[in-house]
Formats: sequence, structure tokens, C-alpha cells
Amino acid sequence: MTPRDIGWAAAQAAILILAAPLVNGVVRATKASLQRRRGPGLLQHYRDLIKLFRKGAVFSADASWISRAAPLVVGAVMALLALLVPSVFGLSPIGFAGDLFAVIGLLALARFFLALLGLDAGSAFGGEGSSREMALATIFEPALALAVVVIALGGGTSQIGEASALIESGGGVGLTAAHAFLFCAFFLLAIAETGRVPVDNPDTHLELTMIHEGMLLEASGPYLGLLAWASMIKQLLLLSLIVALFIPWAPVEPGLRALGWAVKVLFLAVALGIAETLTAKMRLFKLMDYASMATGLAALALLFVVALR
Amino acid sequence: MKTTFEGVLALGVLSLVAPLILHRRPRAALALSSSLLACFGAAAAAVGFGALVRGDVFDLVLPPLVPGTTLTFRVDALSAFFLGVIGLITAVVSVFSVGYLRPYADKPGAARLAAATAAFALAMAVVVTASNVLLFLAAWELMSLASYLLVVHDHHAREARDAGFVYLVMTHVGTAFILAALLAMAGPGDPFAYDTLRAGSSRAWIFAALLIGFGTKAGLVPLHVWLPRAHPQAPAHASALMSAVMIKTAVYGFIRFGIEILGPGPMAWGLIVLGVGALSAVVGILHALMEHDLKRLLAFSTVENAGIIFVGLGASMALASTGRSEAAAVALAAALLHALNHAVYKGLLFLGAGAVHHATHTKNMEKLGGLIRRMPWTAAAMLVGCLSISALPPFNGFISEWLTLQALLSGFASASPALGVIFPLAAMMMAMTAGLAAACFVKAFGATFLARPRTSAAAEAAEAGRPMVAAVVALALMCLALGVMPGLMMGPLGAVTGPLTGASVADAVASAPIPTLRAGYGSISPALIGALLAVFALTLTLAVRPGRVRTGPTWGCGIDLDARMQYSPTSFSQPVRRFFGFLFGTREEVHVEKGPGGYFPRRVAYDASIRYAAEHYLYKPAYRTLMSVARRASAIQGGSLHLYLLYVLITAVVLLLWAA
Repeated sequence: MTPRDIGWAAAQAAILILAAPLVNGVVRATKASLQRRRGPGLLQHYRDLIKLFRKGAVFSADASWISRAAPLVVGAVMALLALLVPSVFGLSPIGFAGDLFAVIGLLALARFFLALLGLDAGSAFGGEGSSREMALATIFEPALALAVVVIALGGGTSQIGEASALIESGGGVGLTAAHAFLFCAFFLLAIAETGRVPVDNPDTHLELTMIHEGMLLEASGPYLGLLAWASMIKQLLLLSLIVALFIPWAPVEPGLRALGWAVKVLFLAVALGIAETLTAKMRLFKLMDYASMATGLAALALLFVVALR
Repeated sequence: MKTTFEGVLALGVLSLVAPLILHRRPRAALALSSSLLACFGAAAAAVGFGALVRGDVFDLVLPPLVPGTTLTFRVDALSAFFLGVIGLITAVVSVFSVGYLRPYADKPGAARLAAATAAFALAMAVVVTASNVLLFLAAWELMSLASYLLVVHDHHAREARDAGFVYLVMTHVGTAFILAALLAMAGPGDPFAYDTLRAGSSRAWIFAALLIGFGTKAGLVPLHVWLPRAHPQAPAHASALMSAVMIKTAVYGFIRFGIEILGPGPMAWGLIVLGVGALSAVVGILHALMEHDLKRLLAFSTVENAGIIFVGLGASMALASTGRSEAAAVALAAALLHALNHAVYKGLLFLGAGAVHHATHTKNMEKLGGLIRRMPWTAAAMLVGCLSISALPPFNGFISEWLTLQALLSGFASASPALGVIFPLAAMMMAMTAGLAAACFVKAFGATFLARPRTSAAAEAAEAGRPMVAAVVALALMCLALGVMPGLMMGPLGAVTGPLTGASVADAVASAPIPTLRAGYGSISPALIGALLAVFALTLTLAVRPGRVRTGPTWGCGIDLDARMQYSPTSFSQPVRRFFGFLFGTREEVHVEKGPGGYFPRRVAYDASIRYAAEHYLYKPAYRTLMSVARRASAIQGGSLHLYLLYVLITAVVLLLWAA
């Protein structure tokens, strides 16, 4: 692990962090285009973030240091994940430090602090968001863990970089039925983890759909900017993870590889937008069926991997 | 080392005897006993971990108290590990109890409390170091009776007496099974020394008896019903000892007798243990989510963690039976590391709950809230405990959860297709329990410490005294240290797994250039993760600075918010109650009392009840059957002395005929 590798990893993380609002803009533009609207433009998220970071902050009189610490912890977790997940150039020089289970654990850490943030100010909406977010995590995390387990079993490694390289070279679960099932499961889980329709609606603050937004309701100013950015980074991380594990084939040269990554991520972002437009938000308690579908797909993949061993 | 161990035992006896001598001076008795017990704990930890690190194995023979019995101890790697855990937690709990037990000095029974605590700790230390079945059973019984005295300490409360009774019955049922198994394993020569124990025929029955016996003490489903009753009733320092340490003595007993002495068995045994463990884990945490009593929630969480430990043990047994000794060593190390981690963070959580109870006189989370401002240090330590128990990096719970998952993954490469399907599904259930635990402890921490206080008791709480704060902060620092530097324990654990599975896990840790933990299919570097998280958090703290910071009221759609409008623990867990309603038989009722005109509700009451499956389907029918049989059998009680003499005569004649 040379300083050059660290430099590439840092560049990769920086590109991912800076590109995250643009990818979210693409999803929104897709939805706008399908809904026959003009939409706010691809760069609107950047303008929103700049506006938020210039503002002052308001804290509730009932809030504690958790309201100040939670956005910082969430931001730190996303920055660390940006270093761990092989994204733009397909590199993961510190991949030995965290495997797929560590990624799930770090996402859970961010979620824990977000949930505490929702409860801290003592508002009913915050509590609702926290309660629903943690309940959904209990049904989606097993599905995600099973999918990750099947990928690890198929490739013999749970490190992301190595699994990705293995699939790229044709080994592991690459291009088998199990792979297809896992891709579907991962896509469903990416929708769930990023809080998109049918799990949650990221565009509104209505009580009916307020899971992620509910927890952020009392955040303001730069802290809200940090949290909004963190959720966009999380979305791009999940899309990069799908690219690394399911469509990793790309040229070796870094510039072309980055271009390949960008094309694949944009393709997935458009797919996300289309999926959001084609479905309606599901009732909260019906999401158990949604999670069961993802778990079932992962279990099918497991059976294929076991049978074809 | 041997003399230090003798000193440990002497300190234990001294801390048991001192309060009995000083029983007329309860304040002095409690203080002296706590101090002596703290020294006992520190010395036991030093002996235990010291012997483990140095690889010492020694025997100790003491002159018998009762002629004809032997007091033989052996401290090998397994005993040393558990002795270290017991000593460590006892030391911290004793420091805590210096502050916590002060109000108890003014109530009757203080000396009994101190003596029972000391007897409990001493008995646990003897249980894990005895090398003689009689000494083991005597110490086991003393442990159970001492903890019974602690559970019913507040014997004026009906619940405490009921809880103590259920606990006494269940622990003796378990002890009966253990006794039967140990007697069946008696070998030639001295029937009670560990060296000569061997399992001849009927190994399956012995295994089943050991699993049931130690499973009762560990709190595995469906034998767990005493745990959520007994642990909350005891004073907090005793609950911490019971949950954090007594469960581990059952784990020790199972490993010693079920794995080491009984020897390797068929794969089915490992799978049964794995299945029972996974079931306990899921059922335990689901019930924990439904609780609004903080200590009952923690007790159910202990059931969950005992399940996780037995998942590791079962995986180890199954892997060993297919010849994969390295993977078996990883699984066993994961189970033992989880035992240590659970002792540390469950001790922390129970002590924190005790501090909260001390300050607010309630354990009901529906009456708490806002304590983070009144008790900042306790809250910070409890936050670390909640993060650790939810298996979140960079704390210790994540490490043992990760190791267990990697051990389960390793089962895939073995030839058996059963393992290939069962182990990944067990891994999925582990992930489910981690998710449920996170939800449970967000609820526990949020309801107790965050937002506005719901009653005046919570509004006027004061931070706990220095000994209590020091104890919980020490445990919190230990959680962080064990989480960031797991390599500290992997070498010593290699010394334990070596003799038991034939493979060492010491090479799972690479120290250079960055400490990495390698096991199963992957590797992590908790030190690097922790360091990077700290660096990024610090950078963001410095970089993100709002220009103007104002304070305002929480947004309530224009209404003045009061404490009833924030989410309560029951409402927080309602989505989970609905999602898993098919398991609970949830019944929810809403009663609305309407005002004039029938429009505006004057009073709304929400009633939720769940059905405890083990009690409903197993214990209540068993109890009813037992009582009906007993009622019919009581027909022989005629009340006439002549009738009873006739019974004696008939029995004597039958016995004489049979013996002839």
C-alpha cells in the first residue's frame, strides 16, 4: 500500500463525494422527464447544498449534544465508506480494512445515529421517522446480509475489491443464474436503503411517507446540508457497489475505467428513476412482503450456489 | 500464580465473612465488603488473564473442609479465561456498588446483601476452577442460592418473591439434569475427578441432559422464562453480575463437560446447539423490543446474546465433526470473545440502568426521558453500551458478530450440503438479531435519555456519584478498547481453542503494517476503521461551523409540545410489533372516550399485549397437567394416621419382596 495507492483512493473518494449530488440530480431529472415536467435541473442539488452550508443553525431547546454529533458521525461514516468501496477507478487499496459485512455495519452505525437524531428533539415526526426506519432496517438487513453472504460464498471472499475482481475475471458467481437473482435482490435493497418509492418518498415531507425525512426534520443549516449530502453519497455508494459486484467489466486504463463507471452509474440512476415512477409507495406494513421478495431472491441464489458447488 | 490464586480464594471468603461479622454496622459492612470484593475481582482477573497470556496451567489442592471430600482446583486455559472475565466484571461491579448500595445500608438486610453478593462471586470463581465434580456441584448450588437471595432481597414485593420462586425451580431443574449427566459420566477410579470422567454408552442422552441443564442456566429458549423475571428484581449490581457473568459459567460448563470431556460427536449435535442458539437469539431480542421496563429489556437481550454464544459453540461442534478444525477454532474463539464482550457491555448496561434507577427510582422507560442533560456521563457510557450491543463498529460487539459470521461462512466449504444451506441461513438470522438489537437499543437509549422528561422524577434526577460513574465509564472504555484492538484477545483465545479443537487462532491477527483481523472469508482492520472515523469526525467538526446558532422550540405544527407528544417506548416498537405480529399474537386495543357532541376525544387509551409463546404453549399446559395429576394423586391423603401406617407397612413388604 504505497502513498500512490492512497492518493488514487483519496481521489476516487473525492470524485464519488462530489459526484453524488449530480447522480441524485439525474434520478430527479429522469422522474421529471417521465412525468412530463421540466424539473429543477441537474445541478440543483449543488445549489441547495451551497445554500444550506451558508446558513446558520437552529437547535431545539430540548435537543442535546446528539443533535450536533449525529450529522458529524454520519458524514464521517460516509467518507470512510467512500474510501472502502471500489468505485470510480475500481481501486480499493484499504479494502483489507473493511469487507462487505463491515460496510453493512458502518451503514447501520449511520442509521443508529440518525435514529437518535430523530428522537432527540422530542418531536412526534422525528420519533415516527426513527421508529419506522429502525423497523424497516430489521426486515431489510437480513436480506442484505443473505445477499452479501451468497456473494462471499460464491467467490470465496467477502472483501469487495477481491470479489469484484473475481467476478470480472469470470469466477465467483459471475454470469450465472445466482448472479441474476442477486442483482435483482440488490436492486430491490438499494431502493429500500436509499429510501425511494415504494419504500419511502424522498421528495416530500408528508407524514405518510416521512421516514428518512422525518428524522432530518429538526436539522438545519450546515448540519442539514451534511445529512442531505450523506444520503446522496450513500445512494451513489450503493450504486457503485452494484456496479462493482454485478457489472464490473471495464477497461484497465484509469481514465476509461472511470468513464465506464460513470456510464454504468448513470444507467442505474436512470433505472432507479424509472422504477420510482412506475411504482407507487407501498403501505408500511406491506413492506414485509417487499423484504420477503428480496430475501427470497437471495435464498434462491443461495440454493443455486450450493447446488452447483 | 498459585499463591495469588490462593489469595483470591482467601479474599473471597473474607468478603463473605466480613459483613456477617459486622452485621450490626451495615454501612461499614457494605463498604468493607465492596472493597474486599473489588480486590478479589482484580486479583481474580490478574490470575485469570495472566495465566492465559503466559500459558500457565496449575493445580491447587486445599485441605478438605469435610473429611472425605477433596478441594481440588485446576486452572487451565479455559478456566483462566472465564476466571478473568468473572474477576474483571466483579471488580468493576464492586466499585459501582460502593456508591449504589449506600441507600441499602439504611434498610434491613444490608449485611445479608453484602454476604450474598460475596458468596455469589466466590461461588462463580470456584465453579470455573474446580476440578472435582462434587466441588463443582457444591459451588454451582451455592451460586444459585446466593443469587436467589439477591433476587428476593426486596422480599416485601410480590413480584420479587414470585420471580425468586420461578428462578429457584428452574435452576434446580437444570441442576438435576447436570447432576444426572455428570453422574452418568463417572469413570473408574475416583468417580468425581475431571480426569477420570468419561462418557461411555448413552452419549446422546448425556449430551441432551448437559444441553438442557446448562441451557437453563444460560437462558436458552424455551428454558429462559426465569431470566426476565429474576434479573430485573435483583439490585442492579447483582443483576449485572447475574446477566454478565453467571450466564458465562453455564457456557463454561457446557464447553468443559459437553465439548471437552464428552468429546466430539455427530454433526447433528452441533446443529441442534446452533438451532437452539439461533432461536434464542431471535426470540430474545424480539421480546426485548416489546418491553418498556429497562431491566426486563436488558434481561431479554441477555437471552439473545446467550443464543449468539451458543450459535458459535454449535458451529464449532458441527465444523469439528466434519474435520474442519481451523474453522472450528474460529467459531469457538468467536463464541468466547462474544462471552467476554457481552460480559463487558451487559455489565455496563445493567450498571447504567442501576444508576438511572438510583437517580429516578423507576425502571419504567415510559416515565423517563431527558436524562442526557441531567446525567451526562452515565448517558455517554450507556450510549457506548447501546452501540456495542447493537454490533456496530468500532465497538466490541461488532468484532464478535463479525467473527461469528465468518465462522458460519467457513462451513460452506465442507462437503456436507446441509452445512452449506444451514450455516448461511444462520448467518442471516444473526444479521436479523443485529438489526433488531439496534432498533431495541435506539428505543432504550432514546426513551430513557433523550427528548423531554416524562415525569418529575426524571426531571429532577441527579448524576450518579463518582464510584458509579467511574465504573460505567471504565466499562465503556473497555468496550472501545476491545473493539479497536481485538488482537489483544485473539492470542489468549488461541491458547483456549488450541487444546479444544486442535487449531490455533493466534495467526488470525496480523500486526503489521496495520493490525488486521483475518478469519474465514474476509479481513477487517478495526483499528484503521476507528482511526479513520475519528479523523473524519474531527475534520468535519472543525469544517462544519454554522455562522449563527440559535435555539428555538421543537416544531409541533403550532401546538405547544409537551412530553406526551414525543414517541414513547411502546409506540416506538409498534411497527416491529406489527411486522412480527404473527409470532406474538399481538392484541392491540384503542379505547377512545369522546367529549360532548361525540367529536373531540377526551381520553385515548392504547392497550397492547403479546403472548409469550414458551409460557403459553409449554409451561402453562405443563403446569396444568402437573397440578391435575397432583390433585388426583392427593386422593391417597386420607387424613387418618392408621391409613398412613398401612401405607408404610405395604411399602416395606413390597420392598422386602423385591429385594429378595
